[in-house]
Amino acid sequence: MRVLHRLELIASYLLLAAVSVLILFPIGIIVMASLKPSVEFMSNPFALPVRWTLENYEAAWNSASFSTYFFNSFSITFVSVLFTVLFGSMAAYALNWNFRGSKQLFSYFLLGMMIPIQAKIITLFILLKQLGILNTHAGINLVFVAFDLPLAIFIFYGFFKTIPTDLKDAALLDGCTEVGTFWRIVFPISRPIIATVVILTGLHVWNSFFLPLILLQDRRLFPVTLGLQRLKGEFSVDWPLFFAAMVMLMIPIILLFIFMQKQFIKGLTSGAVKG
Amino acid sequence: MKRRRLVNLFLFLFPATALYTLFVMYPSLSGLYYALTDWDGISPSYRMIGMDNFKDILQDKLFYKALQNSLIFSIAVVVLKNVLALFFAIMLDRKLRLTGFFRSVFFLPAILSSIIVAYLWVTIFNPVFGFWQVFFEAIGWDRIAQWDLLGSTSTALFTVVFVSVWQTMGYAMVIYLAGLQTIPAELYDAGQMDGASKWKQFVHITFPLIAPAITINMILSTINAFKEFDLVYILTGGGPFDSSQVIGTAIYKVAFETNQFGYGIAMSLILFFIIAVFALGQLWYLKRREVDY
Amino acid sequence: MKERGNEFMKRTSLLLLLVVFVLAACSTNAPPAAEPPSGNAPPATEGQSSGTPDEVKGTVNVLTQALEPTQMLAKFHEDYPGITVNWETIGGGKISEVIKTRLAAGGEDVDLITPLRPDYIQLAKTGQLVDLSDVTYKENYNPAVIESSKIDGKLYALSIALNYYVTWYNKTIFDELGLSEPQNWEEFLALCETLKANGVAPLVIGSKDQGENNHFSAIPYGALLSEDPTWVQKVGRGEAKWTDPESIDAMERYKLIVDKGYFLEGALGIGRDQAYQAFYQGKAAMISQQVGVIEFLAANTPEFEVGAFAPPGNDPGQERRVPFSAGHTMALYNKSKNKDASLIFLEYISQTENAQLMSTEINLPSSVNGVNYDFHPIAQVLMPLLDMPTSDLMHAVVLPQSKPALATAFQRIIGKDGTPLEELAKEVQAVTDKEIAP
Repeated sequence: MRVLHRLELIASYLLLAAVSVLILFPIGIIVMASLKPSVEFMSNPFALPVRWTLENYEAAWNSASFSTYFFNSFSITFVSVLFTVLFGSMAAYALNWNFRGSKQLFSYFLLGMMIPIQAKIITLFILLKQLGILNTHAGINLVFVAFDLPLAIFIFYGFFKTIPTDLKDAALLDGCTEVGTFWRIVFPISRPIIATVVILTGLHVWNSFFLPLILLQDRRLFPVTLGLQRLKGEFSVDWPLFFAAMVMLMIPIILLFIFMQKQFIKGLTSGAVKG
Repeated sequence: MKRRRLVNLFLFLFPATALYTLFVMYPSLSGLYYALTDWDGISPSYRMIGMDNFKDILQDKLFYKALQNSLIFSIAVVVLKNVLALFFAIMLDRKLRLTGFFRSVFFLPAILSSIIVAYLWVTIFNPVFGFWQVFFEAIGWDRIAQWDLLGSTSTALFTVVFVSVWQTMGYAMVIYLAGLQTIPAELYDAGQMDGASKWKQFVHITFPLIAPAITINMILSTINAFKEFDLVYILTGGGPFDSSQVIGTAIYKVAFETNQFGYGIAMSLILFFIIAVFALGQLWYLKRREVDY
Repeated sequence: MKERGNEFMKRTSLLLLLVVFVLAACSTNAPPAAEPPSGNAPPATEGQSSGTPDEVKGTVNVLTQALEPTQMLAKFHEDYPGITVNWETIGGGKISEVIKTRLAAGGEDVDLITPLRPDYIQLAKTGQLVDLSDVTYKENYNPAVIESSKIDGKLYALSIALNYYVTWYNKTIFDELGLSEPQNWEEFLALCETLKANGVAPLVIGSKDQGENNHFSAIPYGALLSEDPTWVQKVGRGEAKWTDPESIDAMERYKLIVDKGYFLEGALGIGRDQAYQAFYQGKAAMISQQVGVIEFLAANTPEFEVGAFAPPGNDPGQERRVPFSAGHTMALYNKSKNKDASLIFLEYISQTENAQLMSTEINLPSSVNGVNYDFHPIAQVLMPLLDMPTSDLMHAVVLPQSKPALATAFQRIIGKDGTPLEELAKEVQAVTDKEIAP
């Protein structure tokens, strides 16, 4: 029995390691390429750099006022994720009360995800202009929140269902209001789910290119993804430079993921779900 | 009491519903109106042409080709992605050493933007000097080294499937992991006491309890697979000879490249209905299953 | 314990909210991109602008895919302190979407734009652009550029970059094998044969990018276009057809190049970037591409010597022509509130001295007469080609819906899918017929 367990463990590790290689290797190519001069990438894209250099990182950082763009990206991502989580969880919580029309409302939220962006981009632009929030962070934040709400509601809705009702009932009996129950009971024990939603919507906002491209015009308001396009020439791309910028773009998300992973574990050990 | 409940409902639902209606549904519905026009996207005026765009679509060979490819692509991606994601989520839910590391690694490709992922694999599969070629020549498998995965009509679409699964598997895995976290460990302890095999535990404990995660993942990946654009556009450009053209790229082509905006929006509307049928159908089926347990 | 946790949550959440509002407040304070148009600007008169440097005030918003010519703009601002130029570069191949959304929303703050050709034609035909037919400084431009920018006999834009199509070659390989530049189709075939016999792949094409297939047609369609340089436009007017015998002959030549194996293997699996990279690595001796690729060559200069010649598709005895199009056609939007300032700017960039400055900065050959291509040594090899007669660049002038159909047809020739050429031509013609039907 023990031997069997051992074998299974070894097999698991081997498999995990193999898949990790399949994932890390191509990403390694990007990182490697970002550390070599463009000429080397052109002649041999896959070899180790002959001359290791950080010049691409320096150039990427300097050439496109990256610090401003990074700040903008952080600000947009933070604000829109925060409100997506807040409004999304509230709506999902209420949708679980099964009032009349709740199912229809839930489907209504889902529909938004299915409409291709091409069908709404022009009218969205006109709307923002009419509201006077075109080319502002406020405008793009509102759009991101609205666009990510379906995803957030969808995920929250599914998981809130699994919260035992007696837990909520107990709180309500204790004299908690619905708002209080939501805030004190549901929100805290949903940390793994919140972490998931934060990561998934944060990722979406952080990486988005098309929406800010259309909705922002002032360079001072650009997020990094829009700054990146300035590194591309019209007919060519300096790939190592682009890769360097890409690696810089990845780092905050990796940190966020590692940080949020702790939430997964906490959610598990707090054991609140068991009630 | 009843009134209070109404106030609560309003309080909880209003912000999301209002924002969503204003910034998603309103532009979408007013945008879909162009489906009934012959607007090219740039002229100051257009004509109402009723259902003509839809009639034309039904005779459009490219549309059928794209529809067929989208179906194949979506089914392949949804199935492969979810099976793998669930498998690895279960594996990484255990208290093994390095689970944190493996989880981060598996999620890594989802962090990259599609543009970079696509370019990366273009570089690897490139039949002239790609890594694929270099690698298989080095180990002596010359036949395989010569495969032009992106440039052959029989493999292009499936190569995009592979890249898509590579990129988004970790995303689905994270959602499965979150689902697994909510299963109390006691249930498994009890299962073990009863002498249930691993497989039985999976079928009777894990599977029913992660039903919400399954629903979420199935529907999200269905929606995203049908809308796929970036990967196809950069990896194959829809080619060779439209063999990997999907609806997402076809819509882009007509709406913005060939200046048939109204026609493109009509295609979007059809795509929307297809996705809605698949997604809501799944939802209905999966939710029923959730209730059963 | 648990209670305190909740208390903590609550406090941090409140704090976060506070931060959010502060951030949101900060961001809304950011000024909008464009200043409101100056109300005291005199109403624009068609054509000529007459203003001395200090008289005209205003903002010129330039929306383009071209890079920003910072130094040229600085010089302009010195000469015309009253005019601010707001140059917006749209990358990622999204210029068409950006122009369309801005115009659909009323076109406020839109002044100068460089629309893609199909958009340009449509904008001109629907009266959304200012007629520039009478501006005197159009004389400063290459006459062929002016001619090809005319829509129904009127000029609506000035091209800030010439876009012509040449065959780049690896001079080092040519010299080693004692080869010289081919002058016509037969010499070209002989050249390819020699290269191939010596184990060198003659050509590389990035067939995955649709445009590359159409661009390459410059060689197989060379004889036809030499005879009739505007043939493609005629097809667009229904005066000629893809199924005409000359066109089928040209397709035969395309097929011949494929059948003889002159393209580097794997053409369908690579795009423009990789094709250039293969050329750079010396894997093929020639690559036919737009001159815009000079940007690539300048950034990654190969170790071998690079040369360029006009696509040798002409039959012996026929005149050889360089396929070209007016790139980045800068047009003035009719509803612009800054017409005077915009016209001053257009006139300014039409002066040789300023065009020279811009060309050097944005790495694109200028359409203005007398501009030297000195931004890179390799650019010099293009100078002799400038004086050659020209023909239309197929990918630029083919009708928008026919464009992808044509590219797919050529791609199928390259992919040897076995469809008879007449069949392919018929399919393309069917799309064109539908497109030009009233």
